Amino acid sequence: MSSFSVLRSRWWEDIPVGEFHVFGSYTFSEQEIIDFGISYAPQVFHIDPEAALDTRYRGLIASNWHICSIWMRLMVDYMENYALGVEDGRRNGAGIGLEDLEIFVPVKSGHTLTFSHEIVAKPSKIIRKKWGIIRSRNEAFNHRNELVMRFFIDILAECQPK
Amino acid sequence: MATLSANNWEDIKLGIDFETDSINLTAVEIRNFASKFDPQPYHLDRDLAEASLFGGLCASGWHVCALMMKLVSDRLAQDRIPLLGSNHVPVLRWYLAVFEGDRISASITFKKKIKPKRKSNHGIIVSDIVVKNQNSKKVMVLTMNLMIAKNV
Repeated sequence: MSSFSVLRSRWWEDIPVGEFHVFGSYTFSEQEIIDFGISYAPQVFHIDPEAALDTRYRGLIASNWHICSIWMRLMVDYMENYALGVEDGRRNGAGIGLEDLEIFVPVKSGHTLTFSHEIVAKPSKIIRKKWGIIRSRNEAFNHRNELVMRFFIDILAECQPK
Repeated sequence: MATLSANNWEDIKLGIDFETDSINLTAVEIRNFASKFDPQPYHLDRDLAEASLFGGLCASGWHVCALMMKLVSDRLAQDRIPLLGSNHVPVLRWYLAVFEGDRISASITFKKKIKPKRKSNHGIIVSDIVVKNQNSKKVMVLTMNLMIAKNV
């Protein structure tokens, strides 16, 4: 087993600052962009391909929250893959907050984003005597290697029982 | 898009609070979103969720973000404020899980105006958004820089 095989099952104490993963890629389709927009972000540039041509984006673009949701899906799939066969109950917990979610370049249908994740800090605060905090920088690059999105997220990780 | 009757960036006054409509969240909606975007046990399976740190079937934090965007979009559209999206969320905190059967709504406070850049079609309104449940408990709080169309 490589050290990456136990990504999801490590205690907070064992997760190193500086660890870096490129954890997935995803191609956005027009229909998915429209479906998400109709449900959650009903601006014309998310839901109407014709009307979107007359906006500053010159076409349909994905909602920021859609991009974030795809980030989550790829992260869950990646963690599940590395947690296969691990049944000791240790797992990363909930996200507690974001900082500086920024979108730099619009995402259009057919664009492929590749997502990376780097652990940048482990604040010393322990929550409910059980959960430590892992702060990561998350970035998405498009097929032209432009930085599309960045955010920092704090996620709980279980501390090793004393 | 801006129309003659739109309340563009220039027309917006600070310090006004908006209350959005509310959304009642069902188990089906929680599972639908989670199966697409966040397939973790506490968003999919009632029994596993009860044994988890959340204690019950609850929505993905990203689902709450998406629902917040819908509530805010619909509310600003009511006041003919032309929202062109957001390119920056300086800070966001998830405080409480949103469980099946919960009803959430949001309040929006326009906090600060940032002038449009030259040649830009919009200005920024820095906005504080508080998402609450049916018991008026904060479930999510964020600051979002809303892009609002300016006069042409």
